[in-house]
Amino acid sequence: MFKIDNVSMIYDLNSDEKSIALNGFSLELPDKGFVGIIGPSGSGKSTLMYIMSTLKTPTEGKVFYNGQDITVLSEKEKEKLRRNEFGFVFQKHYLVPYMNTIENVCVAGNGNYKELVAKGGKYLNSFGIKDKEFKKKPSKLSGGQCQRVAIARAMINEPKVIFADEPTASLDHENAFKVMNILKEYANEKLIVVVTHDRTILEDADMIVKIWDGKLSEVRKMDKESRVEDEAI
Amino acid sequence: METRDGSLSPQKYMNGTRNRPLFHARMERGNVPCSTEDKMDNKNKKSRGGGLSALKYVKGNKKNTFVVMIAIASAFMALYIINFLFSSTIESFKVICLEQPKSVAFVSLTDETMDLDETAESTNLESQKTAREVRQQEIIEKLKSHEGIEDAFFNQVIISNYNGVIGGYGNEMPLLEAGQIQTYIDHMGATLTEGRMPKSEGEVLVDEVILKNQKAKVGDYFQANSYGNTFKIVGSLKSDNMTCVGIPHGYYNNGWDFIILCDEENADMEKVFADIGIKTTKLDELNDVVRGADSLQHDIIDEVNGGLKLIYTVVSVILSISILVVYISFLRDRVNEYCLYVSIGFGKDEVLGMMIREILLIFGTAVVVGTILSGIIMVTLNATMIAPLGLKCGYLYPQYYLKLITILIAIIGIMQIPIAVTLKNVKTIDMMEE
Repeated sequence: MFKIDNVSMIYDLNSDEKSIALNGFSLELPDKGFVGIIGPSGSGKSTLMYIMSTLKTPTEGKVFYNGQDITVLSEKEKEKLRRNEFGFVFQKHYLVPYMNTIENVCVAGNGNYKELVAKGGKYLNSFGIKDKEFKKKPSKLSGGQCQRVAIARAMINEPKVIFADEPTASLDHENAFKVMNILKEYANEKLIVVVTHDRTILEDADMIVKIWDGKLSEVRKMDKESRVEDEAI
Repeated sequence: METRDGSLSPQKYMNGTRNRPLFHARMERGNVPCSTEDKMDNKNKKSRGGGLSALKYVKGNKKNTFVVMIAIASAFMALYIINFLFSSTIESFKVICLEQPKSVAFVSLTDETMDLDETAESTNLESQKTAREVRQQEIIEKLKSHEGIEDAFFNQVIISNYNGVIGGYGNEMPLLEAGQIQTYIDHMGATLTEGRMPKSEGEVLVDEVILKNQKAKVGDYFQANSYGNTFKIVGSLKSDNMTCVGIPHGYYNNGWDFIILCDEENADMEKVFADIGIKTTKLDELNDVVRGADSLQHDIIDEVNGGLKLIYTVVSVILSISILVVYISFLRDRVNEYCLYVSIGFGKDEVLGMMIREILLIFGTAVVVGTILSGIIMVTLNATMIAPLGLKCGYLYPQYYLKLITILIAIIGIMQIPIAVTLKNVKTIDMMEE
């Protein structure tokens, strides 16, 4: 699904203090599964995810999504891609404070609003959020609940790819576990790309990509049935 | 783990099992396109049901939007009520300026116009007086012979005050001989509604509207503050032109006029006097239909509009600044929200559209509320203040309404500046998190 070809990202390119976030990075990702991108702070893992999701444009290189180079798309085309193909879970939930739970889920949705509400409600129920909490504003929900609502929002259009940037960073262990379970489940049919520096949340990952100093350090693919490493570079 | 009706089981997600394709059924139903392009096209054809709704912000921020909406509605209402009060003054004075002169004109001519020579040394005062009276009578006879002039007199005139909500206007009251009064009120289309006809010196008939306005009644002395106990109200008249008339009480120094009972087609006194061979000049006082219209425009409407312009300007500036300050604070509170929208695939144009719709919703509601409040207050003011003072008013002033709408549109226009700045600075969430 994704083919990243020799991508570099240099911030402040024309400045004396330019910083290289990615340096000639290449990688291929499958159509579905749970992919973890791991590395220390400043290694370029978030930059990689944002380039893949069209939020950033690389300084050099190409990113192919279903065979199409998405780095050359117009802003409008990128918007359409993000809206229709991708879902996002950020480090913070970024729920809209004046909207209630179900509205926050449906705000990103395409299609009939009633159908969206029904679908969003099912997601929320599935994520352990009860009907009586649908009318609550984010300020009345726990951090874990907010992040689960954010995941439901990311899933409302059934995107082919969900990008999750440190989705458990602001959660306690129990809530982090719940959130990761939801994402792992989605990875059965779609692609989940999780960026983290916390190795423990990638235990069930189908593929782990290690980044170090803007370069690909290691790729580990796990066999789905046996859960053993089948490749490492 | 799917339930019987196909809905998703919460336990499925909570236990972390990975061997059942939970989304499989939904994907089949959802007709997910194979290629990116196909899917994008199909999805874009769908309506964005969730979308960026203006109503959600208003519903979710009832207090904030209510305060802004009420502020705009109050300003709208205040300006419209001020219009109403000023316009009530104009409407009320229209009767004196436009309606009354269609039936009667009060004309004071200079000696030169009357062709009288007071400087002639050969004549004494007595002969001058005689010559003047002869000339006046000649003019009266000529006027009476003019088409459309029912009668003409040369008598004293006093002024009855007619106070508007803002300012006042002088209504001329002729003082005629007892025998001329019936002719006068018949010509003016007035009817005696209370009291009796004047018989003695100083007795006057006053229009009901003026009585209301002066808070006077039959039996009172007319404008005692100005004339003392000189003119007694012996009856009230009902007319469409604020007819007042009385009998002189000696010589009262308010002036002497030709009182010309005319019809509407012959109410232009410059023309009438020209027809009888008298060329009037600017030094002559022709209180006729032309002067009435001119006075209404320049002394009343222009003055009122000048005041309104000042009020509009001050209120508009204060309102604009207030709304801008409040709106900018709203925008600042919502930066994260806009960043989210842009990050998840909404265009800035869609965010802008939502912002504009929100503003229009708030302003539109404010206009409706302001209009309703204005209506209630206008009816109340009319019942408690305007009608009891014998004043007239109207409720619908489309030109003022449009002016207010224009001011609000201008404010919305000014609000585009902070919107443009905010949208320019909206970042995607990746940039914020960095």
